[in-house]
Amino acid sequence: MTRQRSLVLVTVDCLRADHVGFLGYPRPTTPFLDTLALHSYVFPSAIVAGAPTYFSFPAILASRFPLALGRDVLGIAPTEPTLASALQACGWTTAAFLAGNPYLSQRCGYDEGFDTFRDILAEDLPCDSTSSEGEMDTHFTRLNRFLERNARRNERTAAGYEELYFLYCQWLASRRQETMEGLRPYPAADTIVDQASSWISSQGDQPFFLWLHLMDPHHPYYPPEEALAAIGRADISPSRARFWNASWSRGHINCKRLQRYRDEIVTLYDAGIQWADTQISRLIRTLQHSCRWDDTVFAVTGDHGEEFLEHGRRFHAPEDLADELIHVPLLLRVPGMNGTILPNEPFSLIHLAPTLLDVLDVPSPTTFRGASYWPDISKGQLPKLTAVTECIEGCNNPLQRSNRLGQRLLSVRDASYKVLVRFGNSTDIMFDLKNDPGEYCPLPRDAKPAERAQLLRVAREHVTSPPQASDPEFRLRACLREFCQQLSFRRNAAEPLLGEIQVH
Amino acid sequence: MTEFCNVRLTAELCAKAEQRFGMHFDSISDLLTCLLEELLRDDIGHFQQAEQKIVEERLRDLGYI
Ligand SMILES: [Zn+2]
Repeated sequence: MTRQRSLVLVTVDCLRADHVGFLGYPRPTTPFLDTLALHSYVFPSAIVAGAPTYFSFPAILASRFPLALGRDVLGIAPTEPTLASALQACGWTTAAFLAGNPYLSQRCGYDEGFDTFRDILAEDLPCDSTSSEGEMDTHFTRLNRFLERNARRNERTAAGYEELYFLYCQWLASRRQETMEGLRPYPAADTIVDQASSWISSQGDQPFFLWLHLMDPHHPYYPPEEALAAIGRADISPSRARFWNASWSRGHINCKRLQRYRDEIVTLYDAGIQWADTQISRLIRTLQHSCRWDDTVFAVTGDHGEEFLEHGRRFHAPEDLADELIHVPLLLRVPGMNGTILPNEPFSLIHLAPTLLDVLDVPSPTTFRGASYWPDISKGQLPKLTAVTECIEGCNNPLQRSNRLGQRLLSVRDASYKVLVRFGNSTDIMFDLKNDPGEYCPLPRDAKPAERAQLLRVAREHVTSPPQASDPEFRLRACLREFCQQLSFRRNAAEPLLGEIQVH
Repeated sequence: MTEFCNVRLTAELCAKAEQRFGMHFDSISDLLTCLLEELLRDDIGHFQQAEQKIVEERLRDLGYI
């Protein structure tokens, strides 16, 4: 009897499609994955179903659009079927090792279906005792308060004060002995791969599903020195990286000034990708040494991209759904298959979980919204596809329920055009992706009416799609989870909760 | 005038709820009221109608419905 195949899914936070070698990036960010891509299915247009993390992962793991259970539901609902629970139910051992993204925690239901769930946030992190706030002595604090108070009296002096205070803080920080490791607020990929590798080594013969989430390209960008050396920038010191990160993160700074730091920030980001690539190669060596590689299906993708001022924005806030944010790499290696570069159709990550289950001959839960494209993919094909991406515009802190009740931002994209519907101000704009791949010039409002109407019909279908039979139950469970969490967070609070979480 | 209904719960369940949530609510009635109000919110329907209207108006502009 042949052994059931295992599955390894690696998700890399903030991984843009155009920053990996196998999709044409000239910098050597992904030498290992580039080689693996030669024997894998490469999706040139993989599109997330939501951005950022909290709007993306319900689709990746539960094949469900992020707002489908109601926009106030965050994460995976208790008992909602997922890729992990489907495999667990069929006898796969399941494990997740996550590099501390707060939105992929147990609190948001991401442990659903995992026998082992290690979220570094829930564990003890080594604490960097040299916080910049703690260092200022009281004399300087008093002087600073005095200067601030006076400077805030008019706009020019306020800007001058802010500039000086920023430089002062940077000078203060530069007096410390800094390391990239000490500056980085989350564990690098080597820590996660170490955990996963020892887990793999402890496994017997049964098939497993292993999910790793790596944070290396996430801001603040503090890649290990080895990764910088690998992309030819060993000259960048931790203190330079700290200065660039601090400058890049400043609020109220115009784009022109930020532009000065852009290239260096991109270098740090790229080195983060390089480190993830190096560690993925180490993970696969472990699978090879454990004699598991030959029967392991392997997929790597991103949960969303990252912006570097292409449209005047930084990081990955849900303020727009430009391709920098929604186009991610996707590579699928299936043992015994040669793989190929697939057609340039937008493959939504809503289809990833059902496709992976199909590769493993496991039926998809009926709650999955996506479909398996494995029959096409295995022939090196993809049909004509349309990808929908959604988020709540401006929802930067979804842990606050009220932030999740904003207006939807929806993008519908085929291989040639993209329509972005901003429900907050009832507008839609359309881009010709072939002639304007950077999305800099929206087409005139009445241009390409047939193509626009086609994408708008998909938008209409999406926003009016009726709930599935199980949705009210999942919604109820998710609401109850949050209700109980709010109660337990306030267990020691003296004031009664009643009224605080009532409807407004 | 508001009308009220009686709900039957076992004394054991009430005691457990009292013990666990008593510090946040004056009574079991308050707890259940808050919980049911929370669960009965209808954010989806409200948003769905407004969004459908926006997309359909645009399709009508373009002459496609
Ligand atoms: Zn993310």
